[in-house]
Amino acid sequence: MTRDYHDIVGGLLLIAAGLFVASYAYGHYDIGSVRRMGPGMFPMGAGAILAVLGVFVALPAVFRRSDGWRPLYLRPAAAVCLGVISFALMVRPFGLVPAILVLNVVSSLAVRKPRPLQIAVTGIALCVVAYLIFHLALHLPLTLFRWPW
Amino acid sequence: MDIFANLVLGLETAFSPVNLFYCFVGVFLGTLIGVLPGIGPLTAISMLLPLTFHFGPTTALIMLAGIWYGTGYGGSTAAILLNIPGTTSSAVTCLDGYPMSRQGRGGVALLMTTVASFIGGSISIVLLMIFAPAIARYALQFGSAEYFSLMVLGLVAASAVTDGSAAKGLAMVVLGIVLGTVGIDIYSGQTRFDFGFLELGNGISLIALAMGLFGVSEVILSARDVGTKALDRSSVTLRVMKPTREDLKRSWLPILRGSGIGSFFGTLPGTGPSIASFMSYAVEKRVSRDPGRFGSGAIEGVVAPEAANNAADQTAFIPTLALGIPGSATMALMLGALTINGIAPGPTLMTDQPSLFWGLVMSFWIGNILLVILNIPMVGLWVRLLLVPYRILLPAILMFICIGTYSVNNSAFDVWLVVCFGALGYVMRILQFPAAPLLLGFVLGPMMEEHFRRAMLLSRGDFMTFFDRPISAVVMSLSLALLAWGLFSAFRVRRRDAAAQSG
Repeated sequence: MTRDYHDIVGGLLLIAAGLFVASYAYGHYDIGSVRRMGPGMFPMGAGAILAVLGVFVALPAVFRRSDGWRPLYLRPAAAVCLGVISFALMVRPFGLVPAILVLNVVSSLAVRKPRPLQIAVTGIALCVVAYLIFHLALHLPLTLFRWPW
Repeated sequence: MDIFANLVLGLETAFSPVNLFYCFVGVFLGTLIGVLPGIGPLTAISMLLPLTFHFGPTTALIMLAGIWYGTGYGGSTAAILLNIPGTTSSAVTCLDGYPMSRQGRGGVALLMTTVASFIGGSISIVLLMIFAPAIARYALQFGSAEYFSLMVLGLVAASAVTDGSAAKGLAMVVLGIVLGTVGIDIYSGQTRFDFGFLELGNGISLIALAMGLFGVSEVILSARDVGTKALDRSSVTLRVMKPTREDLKRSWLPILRGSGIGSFFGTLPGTGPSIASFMSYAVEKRVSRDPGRFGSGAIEGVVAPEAANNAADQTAFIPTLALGIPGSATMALMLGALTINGIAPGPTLMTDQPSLFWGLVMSFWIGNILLVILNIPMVGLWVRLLLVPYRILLPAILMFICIGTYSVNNSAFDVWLVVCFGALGYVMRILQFPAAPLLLGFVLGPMMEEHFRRAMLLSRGDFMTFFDRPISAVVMSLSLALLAWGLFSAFRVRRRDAAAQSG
């Protein structure tokens, strides 16, 4: 028999987050009085409620059975997040087109057995679509290429 | 101004070429997104929210609303032809729609759902025109205590009624409220929870939060099913769409019942189109003389839920526009589109911005007519779209998310926020915490804090102010009852599960 670890972990995370928010608000901001509240009062209360709800989530789960861990899909998670991160890193120094190309390659690794030719075609198509929609149609002030050196 | 003048104003606004064009763009994109599994209306609206900066509020809202009800139409196409619910509200349609298309009657099912959706939409638009102004007039006398109570009710209903545990839903609402406190406090000018990032001074960007929470996490979880499904093309030609006299006779009452049920559930906070479609399916099955036909291609089981979810799509705007209190995460985004454009939502919206309100309502009619045109002759195109492999869609969706977020402030910081909230959304999916209550809490949080502090100031710190004022007292008691019911039923389910496991 395994316990319902999902809810235990989730509840503990909520308790930690709630306690952090409440104590940070108490330590850094003016609490004031109920009649005239300072900036810290509302976040402190919300943090405390969050921690209590965390207990409500975690405690029943300790006594509940479950079928063990669900699959985590780590490969798509890593590929998608790294893809967006590489866009964030590339778009200022290099411009839009290189950022899209890198995003396309990295995020395409999320799928099992990536196909290089298809990724290349998709990358070119995406750049054309981005140019047409965001540059020509919507006139957004986006730099397409930039050389940082 | 009387109703006739309002209607004329609304029609003028809705028929202006710009609004007409973006209404078309909205319903077109809505259908497209509804057909594609893996992107729901929330993802779609958050992806397009940044673009609305460039349009002005009326046009922006017309387009976003078009996406919202357009997905309802598109979702049913995927549900009927491939047994994939493109959106959650069309999950019920699979039950009888897919068997119909296996019997070669997919065309009939598609036509009848379009007709049902149109009728459901029309009925609820009339209700919206009657009730929204009346409620808004009544709401003008509301004070901070009433507003705070109403928001509490909305949040409790949204978290306690949805599937899964009430404690989890409530926890997500509170987490959303906490995230909403980031940024400058309007009373004291103190910056809260910015951790040294200047970019957080104005708070967390709603767009980055929605894109990460719904867009990125959705993409991650959809990446695993990249296969395509087989499809029988002969069942979707125009010729086989003609319904029999028997179909029509069986359909008209369920359509009307579905519209009524949908209109009612659409206005309630926390329920929305998904619950409306499930309820109307259950009702049809209950009142049917021959419930055994359900599940093997009964047309009543297709048209009633479709009428219901489209009706609910439109009436969901009643609390959002009349009170400024959104009942669902999607409506919270609509409200966000208004505040981004500098319009304060609330009961004065209709009198201050009559062209916005009536233009939007009239655009619903136009949008629904456009959807009928888009859906019936063009069904072949949508079907082909279903066959686009996800390995091509995945980088395309991510590109729109990245550029959309970046272009709002030309800020790479917002793209980093998308990554953070994408990771949060992914963890929440794995741990089975619902994301929609978080967004609702995030949007309502700052308003709640403002009204709570003002109410406390006025009552000199007396919490009983929420129970001394009659309207507020009724609303608060309702919230408490819902809260108790939610926690109690969660407890009962757990007991039953435990009993089943040990027995």
